[in-house]
Amino acid sequence: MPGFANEQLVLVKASFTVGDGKSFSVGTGYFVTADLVLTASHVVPEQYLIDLEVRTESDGQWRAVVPKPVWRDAVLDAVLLRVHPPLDATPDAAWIETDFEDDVGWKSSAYPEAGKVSNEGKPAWKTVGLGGTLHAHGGGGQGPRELELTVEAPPPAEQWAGISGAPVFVGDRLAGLIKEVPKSFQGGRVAAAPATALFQNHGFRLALSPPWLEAPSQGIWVLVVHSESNKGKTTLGDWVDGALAKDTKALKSVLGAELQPKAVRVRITDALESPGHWLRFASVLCSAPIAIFDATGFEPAVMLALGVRAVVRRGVTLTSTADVLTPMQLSQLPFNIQETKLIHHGSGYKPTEVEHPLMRIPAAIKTGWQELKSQPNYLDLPAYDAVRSPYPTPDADGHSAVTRILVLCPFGENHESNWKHVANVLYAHYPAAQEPARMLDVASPRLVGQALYEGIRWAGTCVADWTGWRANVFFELGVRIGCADIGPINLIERAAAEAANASGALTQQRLLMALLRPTAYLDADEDDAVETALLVHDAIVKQRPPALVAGQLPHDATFRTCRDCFEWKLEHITAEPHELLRSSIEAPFGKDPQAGGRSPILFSANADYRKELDHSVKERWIAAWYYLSNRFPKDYWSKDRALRAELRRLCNDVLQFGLPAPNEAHLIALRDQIFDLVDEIEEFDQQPTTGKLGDANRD
Amino acid sequence: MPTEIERIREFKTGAKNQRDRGTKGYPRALSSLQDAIAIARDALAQSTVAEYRKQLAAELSDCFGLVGGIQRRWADESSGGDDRAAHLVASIRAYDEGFGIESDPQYGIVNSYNLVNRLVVRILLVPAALGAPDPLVVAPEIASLNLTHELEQASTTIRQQLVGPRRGDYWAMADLALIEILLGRASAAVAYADFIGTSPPDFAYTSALASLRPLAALPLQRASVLDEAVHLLEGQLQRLRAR
Repeated sequence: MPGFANEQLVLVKASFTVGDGKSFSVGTGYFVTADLVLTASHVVPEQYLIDLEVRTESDGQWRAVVPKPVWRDAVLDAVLLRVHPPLDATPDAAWIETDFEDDVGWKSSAYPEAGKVSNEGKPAWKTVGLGGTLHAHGGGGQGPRELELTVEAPPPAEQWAGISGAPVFVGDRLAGLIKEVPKSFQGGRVAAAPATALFQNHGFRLALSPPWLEAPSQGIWVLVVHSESNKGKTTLGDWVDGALAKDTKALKSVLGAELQPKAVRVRITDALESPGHWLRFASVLCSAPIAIFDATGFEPAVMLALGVRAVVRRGVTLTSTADVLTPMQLSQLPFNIQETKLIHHGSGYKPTEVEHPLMRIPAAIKTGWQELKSQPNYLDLPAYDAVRSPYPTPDADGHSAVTRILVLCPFGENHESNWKHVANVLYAHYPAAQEPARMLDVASPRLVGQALYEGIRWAGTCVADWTGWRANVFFELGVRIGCADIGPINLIERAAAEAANASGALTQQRLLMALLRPTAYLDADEDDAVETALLVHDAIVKQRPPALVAGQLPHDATFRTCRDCFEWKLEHITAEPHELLRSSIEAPFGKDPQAGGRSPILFSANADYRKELDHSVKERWIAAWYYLSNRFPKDYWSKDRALRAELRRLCNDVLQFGLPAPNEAHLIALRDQIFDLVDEIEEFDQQPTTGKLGDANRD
Repeated sequence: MPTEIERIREFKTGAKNQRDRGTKGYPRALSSLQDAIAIARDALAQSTVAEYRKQLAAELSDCFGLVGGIQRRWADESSGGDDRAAHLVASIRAYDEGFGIESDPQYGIVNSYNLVNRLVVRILLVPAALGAPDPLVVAPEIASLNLTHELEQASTTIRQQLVGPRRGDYWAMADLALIEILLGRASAAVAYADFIGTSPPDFAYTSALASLRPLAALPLQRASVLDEAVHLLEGQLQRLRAR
């Protein structure tokens, strides 16, 4: 155990502008890894920063710090700074992973004002050793939990300046960092952010985890998620690479950009190895333009990952299996999977057959991509739209998907007894709430898929019973952890938990249990495990989550990572009005409605309907034009080539599809006006550009 | 960054708008189409992907068809004489080039845009050629065609398309209706019954009328039926646009 080391202690100095002048702040920091220094957030201003550096205590050297913090949390008052180059041979800090039950001694070293000396008129900060008692029952009350520390031989409170960010060691482990000196104690007490609170934060976990699974920053690329069994002589990743090589040109022509020649491969068990790995994997699930999952055997962790992917991306996601499934087997698939189009990546077909992986994979990518781009409602996995449903409206009794206690569990007869046990404990624990319900108990006539995923997102309390390791349950669990800021209550019958740790079980079962820590229960009246899990859930709801061990994933970490990393530009809800109007026409009619001689609209041969259809389309084009042509002052047009291109394209489409042959005087005038605008834009294009505004400068 | 197909379509849409402006817009329309043709030709020369080549070839033949249509309209609006004839000959060249691509089996395009219009423009140039026993010779490098025979062939081709991949296609129905009238096989109401039955959008009526009107003005044996067809479609279009 490394313990407190003077070599890892640093003085942090941040220089910033104040009005027309300059100032600086100092604090204490500590190398928690070879290149990351932990200090208090308020030591490093978020704005007006000019320079940031640290001085290592062991050698007095000033070292450069990357100005943008790796992670910052203003509420916890903590920040992680990257020092470049790293400090060689620095061990990772060991952390306290549990809440304190008894008072303990603590120690530290810091650079308080009290220790500052003048060296030929210049200030010099000297370390001051600190120590005292950590009060196990202090630091509670309102706001985030803190560590309450008393200090031996304290100076007056104002002399403490500079200790912010100092590490708090209890024994050989880091218990937190000092953030504040409450004035009312005259310097005798200090408050610290607990390490256990840092470990509840997904960003902190991600920042501390070593680099793994970097996604390509350019071009379109394919993520391949390998199952644990990874069946077949040729793996899914090999087939995908082969398909990308074989069909490069056709893929490029459809995708409109170069496709990375090799897929990014992830083995599902690697993704479960630690919270850091899982969160990096979640971020890649968000960013991968194309993802292909090996769903062979419908392994629980693959289904979990598919559930997360279903929340964060409308497409393109392909699910593949190494087995050739019979119609009977297909009909017995998990119902979430039955909705998807499974492809095959084994050796079950001849190379000339369309089902062969080298034929099917590129064909599926091309078709999926084209449909994703042309159909706003494209989906290749369930859940995406349903989890974006509006906040549920309560019924006459005040009940809704929000107040319902939703239980995700198997429905089979052999699980009936478990269900009754869990339901009874829930009923007893929440007597005033709606009765706990599985999806089959919900009375709504809505399609099961819609109601289920809406419930998974909005339910304040969601229980996932892992017993049986059912694929459906794990897909739904993935949806829950991807879209809800309160994680599920994970349960598993004790026998199933023990079996998962025994030899012969899938490795991923053990890894999932370490990562998500389901509560093992006995299906017996005297067993209180479920009740204990509910108390933890209540603490989470009250924002007092109990401490986690380093290997455990915080309940909301996947959700928060997805929130940070999802490609929000792809969400249609962010489209500008003219683009929204355009897509409302182009999605059903196509980009060139005059090209095909058949109307894609159902029943459009009904003459009255056709008349209104034509009218509606024209009105939308006109509305789009009115919006964009009036949105920005004309001087923007002269400066912004992209805006001109956008306007020109819209003008042409409105003229051709919205006002092809107007017969009313005001529409004829409008058509002439748009023609004039097209001419004007062309004139602008022929002039040298005077400047460029670009999207970022448009309000 | 727009794809090649998107760029071609943007040029085509701009060209159609300039075309709809009348004589004033024709030069710009042709210039835009030349840009689109250049992109399509380059891409076609470079691509080896069958499905993409088919897409590019379809766009290319459509561009030539649009050029042919603009030259034909320009001829309608010209002062007559040599000017009119020159535009009609240019129109024939463009439609013939489009037809060469449209009918090239390597692309597998199923359409009749250039197939029908290359014949219609020849009738506009030499109305007497319709029903004449000898092939019409326009210029040495332009294909000489027996128009009645070609129209019968085209009718057969479109009928096959309509029971196959172009089932329910109002463009095919409009093309077939026009041929049936030119061959004296049907009245206007019968010829256009299927077309009207699909309730096509107004631009389909506008396009069909653009082909019919100049033919109806010619001294043809079927001029009265062509005129009847113009009135029929104008009435339908008016009803569609009335609110």
